[in-house]
Amino acid sequence: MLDTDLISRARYLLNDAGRGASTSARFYTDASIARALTVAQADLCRAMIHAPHTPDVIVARLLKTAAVTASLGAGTAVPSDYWYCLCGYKNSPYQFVPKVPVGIGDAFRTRGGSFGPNFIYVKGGLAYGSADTMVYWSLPPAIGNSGATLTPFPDGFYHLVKTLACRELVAQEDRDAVDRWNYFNKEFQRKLLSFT
Amino acid sequence: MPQVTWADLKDSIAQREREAELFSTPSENEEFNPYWDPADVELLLYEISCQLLREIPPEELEAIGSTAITVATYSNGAVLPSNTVKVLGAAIQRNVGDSLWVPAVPVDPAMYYQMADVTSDDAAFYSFVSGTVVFSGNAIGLTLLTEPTLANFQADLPILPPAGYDEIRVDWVHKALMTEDFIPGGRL
Repeated sequence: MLDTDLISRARYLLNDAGRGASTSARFYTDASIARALTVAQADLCRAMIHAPHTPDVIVARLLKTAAVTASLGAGTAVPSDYWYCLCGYKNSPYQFVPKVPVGIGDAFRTRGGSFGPNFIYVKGGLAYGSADTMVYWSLPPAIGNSGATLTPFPDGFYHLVKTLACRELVAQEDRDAVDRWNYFNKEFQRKLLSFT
Repeated sequence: MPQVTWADLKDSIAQREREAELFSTPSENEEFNPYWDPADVELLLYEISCQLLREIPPEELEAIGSTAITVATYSNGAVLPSNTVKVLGAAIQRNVGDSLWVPAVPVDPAMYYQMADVTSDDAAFYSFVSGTVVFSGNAIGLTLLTEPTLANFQADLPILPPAGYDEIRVDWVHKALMTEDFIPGGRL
C-alpha cells in the first residue's frame, strides 16, 4: 500500500472526501493526516513493544543491530534511528549481554572500578557496557505523502494505524465527534486484538 | 465448497444501504445521494476480509484450503514476505538431510539472543529479528498467514470460509458506512 492511499482512505473515513454530500473543500490537509498517521504509528509500535504479549512477527521488523565499540570507556553513540535497547551480545565466544537500567549500570561501573557481569545500557545517547553489538528497536519510518510504498509492516498494520489516527483526529472535532470516536475506538481495539 | 462471489457481496452491501443506484451512476453533486464510492466500499470489504483472516481459528482456513496460508522452508536469517501477519506453525530440521522435523517453539527476540549458543541438538526455537526468521538448526518450515491482495478476493479464490463470515463482513461494512453516512448539515 502507498502512503498516499492510506491518507486517502483515512480521509474518506473522516467524511472529508470532497464528493457527494460533502463539499469539495477539504478540512484536513494531506500533511496533517500524514502527521496524525506518523504519530499513531509510533504510539502503536511503542504499545506493542511494551505489551506483555508482543506480536513479534510484526514489531520485530523494527529490530536492528549496531556495533558497539569502546563500550567500556567513553560509550558509543547510538544510531540516529535508535528507539529502545533490547539487549546486546558478544561474539567470539558468543555471549548474551542483558540490558540493565541506567542506574544499575552506573553501580556496576563504580563498584571496585571494574565491570562485573555482562551488561549494556544507554544514557545520554551513548551505549555503555560490555557488548560488541547492541540490539535495538528502531523508530518506525515516518509516513509521508510522496506515493512511497509503506514499509516495513503488512497492510493490515497500517489499517490499524489509520483507525487510531482517525480516532485521534475526530476527537479534536466537536460535531458528531463522540459517535465517530466510539466507532473508531472499537475498531481500533478489535484490530489490535486480532494481531495477538 | 461453494462460496458467495465477491461481486455478489458488494451487491448485497449496496442493497442493504439502499444505494444500489450509486453503483451505476456517479454520485457527484447530488445533494442527498450518499457519497460512498463503490471503490471505497470495496476497500472496506477488503479491509474487513483481511481482518477476519487474522481473527478466525486457523482450522477453519485449513478446511477450505485457504490460499492465505502459505507453507515454505526458510534458511536461517531468511527474509519473511512483507505481507506476513501471523505464524501458524513451525518445524525445524536440525541437520542437513534429517528426515525428522522437530516442532519448533517461538521465543521473543531477547530470549533468542540468550539461547543463541545453545546447540540445535538441545533446542528447537525460533524468533523474528528485523523482518527475518532466526532459529537453531538447518532449515525451518513455516506455516504463515499472509494478507491476500484485493485482486485475490476479486478472483474469488478460496480465502475465507463461506459459512457465517459473509454476513459478518456485510454487517461490518454497513456499520462503517452508517457511522459516516449522514447528511452533514454544516457542510452543504
